[in-house]
Amino acid sequence: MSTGSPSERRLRKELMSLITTPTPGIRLDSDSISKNINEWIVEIDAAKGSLYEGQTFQLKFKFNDRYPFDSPSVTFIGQEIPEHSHIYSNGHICLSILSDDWTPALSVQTVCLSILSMLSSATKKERPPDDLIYTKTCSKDPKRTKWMYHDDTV
Amino acid sequence: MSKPATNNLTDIELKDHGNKLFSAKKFEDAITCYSKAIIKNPNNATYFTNRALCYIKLKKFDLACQDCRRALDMDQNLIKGHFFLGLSLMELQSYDEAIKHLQRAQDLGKEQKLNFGDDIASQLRMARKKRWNLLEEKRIAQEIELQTYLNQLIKEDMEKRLEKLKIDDKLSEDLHEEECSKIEQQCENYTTELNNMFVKVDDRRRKREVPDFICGKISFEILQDPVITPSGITYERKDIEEHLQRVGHFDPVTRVPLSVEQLIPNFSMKEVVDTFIQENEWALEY
Repeated sequence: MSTGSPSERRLRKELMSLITTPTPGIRLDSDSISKNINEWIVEIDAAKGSLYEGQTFQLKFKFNDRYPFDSPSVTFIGQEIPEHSHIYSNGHICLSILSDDWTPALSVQTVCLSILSMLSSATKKERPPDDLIYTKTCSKDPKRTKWMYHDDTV
Repeated sequence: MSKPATNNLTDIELKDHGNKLFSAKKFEDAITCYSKAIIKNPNNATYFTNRALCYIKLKKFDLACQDCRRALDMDQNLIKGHFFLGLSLMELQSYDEAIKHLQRAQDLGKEQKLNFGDDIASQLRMARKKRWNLLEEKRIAQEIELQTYLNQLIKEDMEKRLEKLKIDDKLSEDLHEEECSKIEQQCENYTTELNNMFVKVDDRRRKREVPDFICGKISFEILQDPVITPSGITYERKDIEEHLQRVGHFDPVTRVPLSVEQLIPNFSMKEVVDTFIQENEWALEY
């Protein structure tokens, strides 16, 4: 039965497909959504052969009621924030599909896959050059950052 | 507060007064007004459909049906008559008839190019789904009955055969015991196999899935008004229109520039969806 707002209905659909047909390397922390369907915690396993092989990271997804027309806010949380030139030490991610290039045809699953592929393409473990300044001055919500995409190759 | 005298009003004034009372959610009082209007002029179908809606609000579905049928006797093409009748019949669990009238209301709405949004369509889906649920319940109950009956038959057959064996005293004791355990084993196998078959039916029921290709790429729900873009991607009309308005003028999947004028109804996809729903009414959502 489908009740609730369009955004909740769509989130429930995504949830169902993540649970019934899971993608290897992408796991939903089902406890995280038991209280609130608008906040998910997803665990991702870095790909084999990448610099991060063997590491598992946690992503926090926050959705507002305009989802999927508005992008979710996605950050790394927990102990381990991958050291990557597009990932700040506070967990914020500089990835165009999370802001300017978002489209409602994307989903939690495709966002996770994009982030995994971003990790896989890294050749060096390093923080963005402006990490110190950014993490001191940025808003809590990465969606409020005006990202400049220096690197179009990822 | 004294009620305004309604005795000297014309039927139209009484109806207008009833409409005001309806808006104020005073359904009982509104019914009184419509009833008076009907006495003054029994040939206006609107008074009946308005009163029917009051009855629906008060959950008096039998009376609502009566009023709708009287309105439809006057005018077979009343959308409201068919719609309210469909709603009431659904509440009374007469799903076949409810679906007939809701379908008629939807067709009339299309013929008269009136837009009721998703109101009629969603009620129609609800009626079809409820009918399906009811039939499914019946099917499950029948299956359970059949399963119990067949299990019973196997057991009775075993007992009969064992009984027969007892009477047959030509057998030695050893052979007798061997035969007995053979029969018992066979019946146990039958029972297991039978119950496995029923489990499989149940599993199939649980594994019902809507294929992705009949779902919109934005809502992930079954397409109702599919439109196709120049990129060849099909979307639900209201979702892609919202995307164009809110997010940007591009195709969400291919990112090719796109404007609302370029959207073309995808009738083939509509047929695919309708056929799927016809055969899988469990998939309906409302």
